[in-house]
Amino acid sequence: MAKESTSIGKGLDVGTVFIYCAQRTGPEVAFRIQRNAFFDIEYSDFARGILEKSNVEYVLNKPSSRETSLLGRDKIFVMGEEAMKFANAFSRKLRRPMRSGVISPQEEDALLIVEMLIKSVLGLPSEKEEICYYSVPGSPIDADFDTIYHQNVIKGFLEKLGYRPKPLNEGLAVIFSELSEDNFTGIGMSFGGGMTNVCLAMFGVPVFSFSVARAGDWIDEQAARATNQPVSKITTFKETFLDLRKTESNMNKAEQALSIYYEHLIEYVLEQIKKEFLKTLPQLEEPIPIVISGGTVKPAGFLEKFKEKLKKTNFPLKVKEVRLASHPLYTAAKGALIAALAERK
Amino acid sequence: MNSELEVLKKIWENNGENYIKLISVQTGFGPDYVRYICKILSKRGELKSVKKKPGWYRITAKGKKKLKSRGVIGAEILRKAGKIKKIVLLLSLKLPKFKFLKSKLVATREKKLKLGRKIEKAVSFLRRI
Repeated sequence: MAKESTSIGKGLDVGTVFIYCAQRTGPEVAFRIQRNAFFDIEYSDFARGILEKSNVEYVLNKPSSRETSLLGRDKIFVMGEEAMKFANAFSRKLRRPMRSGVISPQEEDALLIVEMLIKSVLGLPSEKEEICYYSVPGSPIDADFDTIYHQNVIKGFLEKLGYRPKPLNEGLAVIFSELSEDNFTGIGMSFGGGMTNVCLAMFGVPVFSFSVARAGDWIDEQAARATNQPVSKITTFKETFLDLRKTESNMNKAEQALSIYYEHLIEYVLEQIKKEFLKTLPQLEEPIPIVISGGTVKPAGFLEKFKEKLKKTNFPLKVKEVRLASHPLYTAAKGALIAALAERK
Repeated sequence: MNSELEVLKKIWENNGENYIKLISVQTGFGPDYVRYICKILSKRGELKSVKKKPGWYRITAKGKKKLKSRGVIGAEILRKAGKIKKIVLLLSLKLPKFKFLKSKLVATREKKLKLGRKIEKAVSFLRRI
């Protein structure tokens, strides 16, 4: 059997909750997935023994005596999926190196961790300066920070690994991934963990793009506050059982709270699109499609809820259809991969 | 914020002195875990046990400096507009060296999808634009 050739060019989606890398090999696209989380524990033979017995990959931080690092000495770091499994066993909180779509300023170890997690999904380039498109959030319109630092830090990591990095707006990545048959014209929306990204493009050229600092994490935090439950419990419930098609009378307290905040998020995003549209007033002759993607759209009934809210909103654009992306979790990485392959002639 | 910073912060908030049981309630960590952290922080000189008060710890100047360097206390407020505050955190530019003990990469999950033809089509459309 002939060996399938691997295409040169990779797509990377650096999300708040997960990092995805897409690479094409013949008829298949391989998505490598890493949870963007970690935890640290003081070094002890006991802790090391537990991790070794459980066959867990871990990293030891041992700054030499001359280094004046701000990080604590002799720490063990467990990263990615395994951090999730072991954080509870060591009574440690899972730490997240990113917040609201960008590198978290509150996590002093964030840069190193993100670099290692990116390296784990991306690996080394197949050739010198292999193109790697990576998703970046649009400028947030409701938060006082920008994405320049984040974008340049990721660029630096990729260059260090030997890639030729190219940033790609996350909303545009959704359009590249899902709207090829509509001439890359329409609205791409990515409801992630830390941010919601929106892009309106005509023939693959962005007309406007922006992000809002409300997404899955915001829903979880608000619902947890409203129901006086831990955020982690609400998150687990949302990811496992939430069904937004249920009627209000059949919902428990957590479901009701989640449903309310889901509705609020959709209304809020639609309202922001209206505002941006009125600023730019693009001339669109034909109705456009809207594609929605991201981890937050996973609960059953999200699409129906979105359509219902869209109908009630006085939306300024004619909409041909609203649909979910074919693989909502992988859409941004897939879009970035398409951009990388298209650039290589 | 990691557990050590949380413990340091709770001690600082309680007028610079606090005891294990109260820190445990305030942070949600178990008392044994708080005791363990306090011992480590004492070894590093960021805390000191209070004389004649077993289980009580006092934050040292070094501990306060650490909280300040992480922006937990006394972060410089550059701009204030409504509820939004823009702050400056003093983070180190020096990166420590990591040593992988087992393998060279963190384990990942992989999922393969038959999307090759779709991708090819999208790529050819995008090249035309």
